[in-house]
Amino acid sequence: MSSGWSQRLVSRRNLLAGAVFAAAAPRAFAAIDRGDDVNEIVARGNLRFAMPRFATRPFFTDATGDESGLDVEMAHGLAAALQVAPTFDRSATTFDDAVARLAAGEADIAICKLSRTLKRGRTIRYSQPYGVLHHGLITNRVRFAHIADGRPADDVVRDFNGEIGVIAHSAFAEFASTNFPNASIREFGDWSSMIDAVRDETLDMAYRDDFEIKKLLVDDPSLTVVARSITLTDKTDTLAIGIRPDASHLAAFADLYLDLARNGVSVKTDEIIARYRADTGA
Amino acid sequence: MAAIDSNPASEFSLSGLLKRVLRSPLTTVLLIGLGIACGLYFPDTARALTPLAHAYLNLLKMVVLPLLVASVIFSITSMMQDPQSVKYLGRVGIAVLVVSFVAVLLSGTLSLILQPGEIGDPQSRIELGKFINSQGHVSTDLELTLASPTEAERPKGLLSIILNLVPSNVFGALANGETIQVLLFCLVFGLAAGQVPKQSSLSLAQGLDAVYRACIILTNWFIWALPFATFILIADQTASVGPEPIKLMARFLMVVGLSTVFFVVASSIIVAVRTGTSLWAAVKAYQPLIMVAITTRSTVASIPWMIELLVERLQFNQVVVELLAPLQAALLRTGPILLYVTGTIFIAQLYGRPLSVADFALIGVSSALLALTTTGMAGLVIISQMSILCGYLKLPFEAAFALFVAVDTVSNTFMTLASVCTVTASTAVIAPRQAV
Repeated sequence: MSSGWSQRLVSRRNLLAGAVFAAAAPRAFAAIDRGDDVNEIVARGNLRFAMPRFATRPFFTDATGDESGLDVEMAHGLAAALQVAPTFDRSATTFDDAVARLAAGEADIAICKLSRTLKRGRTIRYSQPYGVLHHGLITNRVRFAHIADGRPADDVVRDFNGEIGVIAHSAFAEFASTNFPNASIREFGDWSSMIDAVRDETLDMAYRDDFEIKKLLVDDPSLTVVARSITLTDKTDTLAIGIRPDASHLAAFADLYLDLARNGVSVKTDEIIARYRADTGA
Repeated sequence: MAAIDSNPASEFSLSGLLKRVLRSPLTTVLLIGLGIACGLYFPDTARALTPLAHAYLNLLKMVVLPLLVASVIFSITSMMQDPQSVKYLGRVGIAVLVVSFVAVLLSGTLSLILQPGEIGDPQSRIELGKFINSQGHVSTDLELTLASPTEAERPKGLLSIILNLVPSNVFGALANGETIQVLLFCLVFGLAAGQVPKQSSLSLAQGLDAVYRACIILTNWFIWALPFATFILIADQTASVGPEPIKLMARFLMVVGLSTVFFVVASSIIVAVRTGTSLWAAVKAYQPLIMVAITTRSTVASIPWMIELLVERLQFNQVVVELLAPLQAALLRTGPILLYVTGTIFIAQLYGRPLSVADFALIGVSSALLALTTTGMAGLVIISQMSILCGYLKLPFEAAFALFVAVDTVSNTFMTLASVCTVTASTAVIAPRQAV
């Protein structure tokens, strides 16, 4: 009986403590993250976008002329939704560099065909994905036939133990070690030098998203004769808006923007290729 | 009554003239030319006419299985009662060796002379790449999951292809048009029927003979529409392929085409010599068979016309022809040999891979052996088997596959013509003439 009484007392105390905590919680949460980042941006009058200085058409053009492309249009749309002006910081030399600027608070948002990775997720926030690509590989046909040595191509790719090329400081530099644990990874400064290495048979395979690989085939149809392109259908590369880590309200706003302005629809490789063809007349 | 009396004479001359015109080799060449022109300049008309030609093709094909069953069982049963028959089978073996050797040598030599895969011109390579990419969306060559599938589907090996030739249910094989399975059953059934006492098997033999004769009569009925069907099908094929891939693969097609011309001419000469007629008479006799080969693009579907040509027109021994024509159609695979040798050398040249004498020997021997397994396969499957050869030589196959598929209509026509003419000539060499 006495034990039952004491249990009832404990539960009443817990209930009281819970009620007090519940009443205090919103204020405590607000103290940690007041969500005034959007107010700050509105007060400042501009939304700062980090975007690498090189071009990745049809997402964004290079820093020498006027910005245009899918991501630039989205940046303008997002800024307009906040009723502020967009400003573009094109000083980043790599995708990771753009992420570093967000992490340092030097930019509010990065919309630059930015892939979601766990490593980047440790330093910045991501919106929901607005684009879904697949992982892709491209290899010299003659070299691949030598490596395969009669084995089925699927098996060769799954157990790949040759040399795989990635762009340094890109998402695929991170994906490569996870997805091809037996391969040796070689980092390249840019995509074109990696493709030259594939053409010259000095690199076994180049690893990037399937859009970039299909784009190569559009730009240079004769490459199809030389190179074999591969899509990994169970490996997706999701593109999302990168947001500086302390801007929770802005992150929620970016999600809302994607939901309302784009109906939450993710753009796919073939649509991006169609846009690329329309932009370049390829 | 007088008017009625006068009519038969005029009708006779008209039908005789029609017969001569429709059966002339020049008519064949003219209609092929007109078909190509129609396909290029009036593609919509060509496509609109296609259903008619396809219905006609089905008419031709529907005779094949009854005739095959009747003729093979009949001939095997008859030959089982003739101890001399074994010598024919030995000669078929020699024919396989000779034909394979000639086909490899010819197509290999022509490929080295004409260099079909040497495409150095950058613009041509761009056009090739554009064509490979032109099937709707830009697509990568291979799509796969990085994770291994739970139940990996492996391509069938040679052994399993051969083992699958044994039918578990012959009626199922007949219903599905599995010609080679049916042929195997007929061979075995004929061997068994040959062991049955003559008085018991006589009614079977008479029944099979009646089926055979009815099928031959059917083929003679159908043959009248053949020139028109050839025109429509050639027009449709030209309209669907278009000039671009033919231009890109012109030298490859030239090698296969010239090799085919060699086999058609050689076959006509052999038949002319064997029958003691002029070459022109032999070519004229060949005309319906050549048209059937062009329209059906199937060696098996041409078997009734081979038998009709050799037995009814050229008076070769019916029993021997009825056995040898289907058997050799399965074993003398001239067309696939031409494709494999030319195709593999084409790919090696396309990728700038030098070939040693040992490589050529490997291509020759492997092509001849691989071609033996292609009996009854569809054109695209025959092409896909080339990946085995490319695997031996560590050559990439996939991009070239798209090119071969694009011109399959043309190359398959050549292949069928080469095979059909070789089988006919070989049968004419081996089979004796009918005793008059």
